[in-house]
Amino acid sequence: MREALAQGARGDIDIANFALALEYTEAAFYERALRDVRGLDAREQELVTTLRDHEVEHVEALRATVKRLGGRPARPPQVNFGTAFDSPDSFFESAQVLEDLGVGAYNGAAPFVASPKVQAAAASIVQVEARHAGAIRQLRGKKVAPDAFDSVLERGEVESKLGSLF
Amino acid sequence: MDGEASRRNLIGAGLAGAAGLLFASCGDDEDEGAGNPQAETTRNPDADQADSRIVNYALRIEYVESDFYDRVVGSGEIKGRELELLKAFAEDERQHAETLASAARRLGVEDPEKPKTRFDDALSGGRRQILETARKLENLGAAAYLGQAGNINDVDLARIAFSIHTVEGRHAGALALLTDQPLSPDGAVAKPRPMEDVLREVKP
Repeated sequence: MREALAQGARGDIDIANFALALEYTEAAFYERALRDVRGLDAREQELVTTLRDHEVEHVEALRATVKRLGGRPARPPQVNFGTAFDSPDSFFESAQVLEDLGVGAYNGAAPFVASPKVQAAAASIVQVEARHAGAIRQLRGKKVAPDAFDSVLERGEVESKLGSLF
Repeated sequence: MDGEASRRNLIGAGLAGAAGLLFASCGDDEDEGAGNPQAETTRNPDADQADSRIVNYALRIEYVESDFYDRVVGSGEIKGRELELLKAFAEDERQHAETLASAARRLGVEDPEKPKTRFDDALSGGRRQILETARKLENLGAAAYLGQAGNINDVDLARIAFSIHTVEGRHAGALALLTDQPLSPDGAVAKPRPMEDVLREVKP
């Protein structure tokens, strides 16, 4: 069945680059937060540092994946984060949306990945994004899992939600 | 959502409304017969057998988690917002078990026995012990699902597994924060665990 859905290495490069763009965005988001958000307490600071460190590693992992597949890694997208860093509240609200988006994006892309290795790598990454989402929601006093089954997002949906986030 | 539309969605532009897709293919009696391409496709018995083994395994994990949370809620040891949190997790696991049990039945497997569990030690240890046990259980569940990523043949089942996997991850992340433990014990890239290992750990 995977053969019907996937488009081979070319498709995997495309998907990996899509994920890479998201990871670049997340890494930059947390990097900027550490620099610009005023009023984070020690525990929050520690959390955000961990989140940043993870995303930076995700970027590395996906760049390596794209190269291994014979592709060229996408460039970091230019993102304007608007007023996201104005306060801890606005920051964590945006962080929640971003992480939820990441989970949906990976879960949405998973059935279309041709290579089992790439699919395994993506699954290993998305679990961590889900951990991020869970921790941020818990911090904000929101429902940790909006649904018992995480929803999947189609690529177009991810791009449009990202576009309207900041 | 009828079978024809769901087939087109799978192959075509994407998976919009996938939650609906998931439930449309879960134990929907319409799948068995009314001109649905899924019903016309010959099933591969070997693939189904392999999948049913994984479904049984996942179901076992969900039953263990469910049982744990039910006992915790019943114990009175956890209160307030933390109790609400664990009740929400209990409900998630219950839904996971229900969906997996449906999938097992569709694969021709009878409902597996609910496994025996022994959580007396954890429950008698008070709030900290309980939350720590919950955290470890969720970590294990997440690693278990990750360990089966790519092994499931049926596309709809695989999608269900992916959707459960990240919910376990969410639970684990929230509990890590609550207990002041590492958000991801494996770091940026989570590690899968094999079936034998996980089954050994959930044995009472």
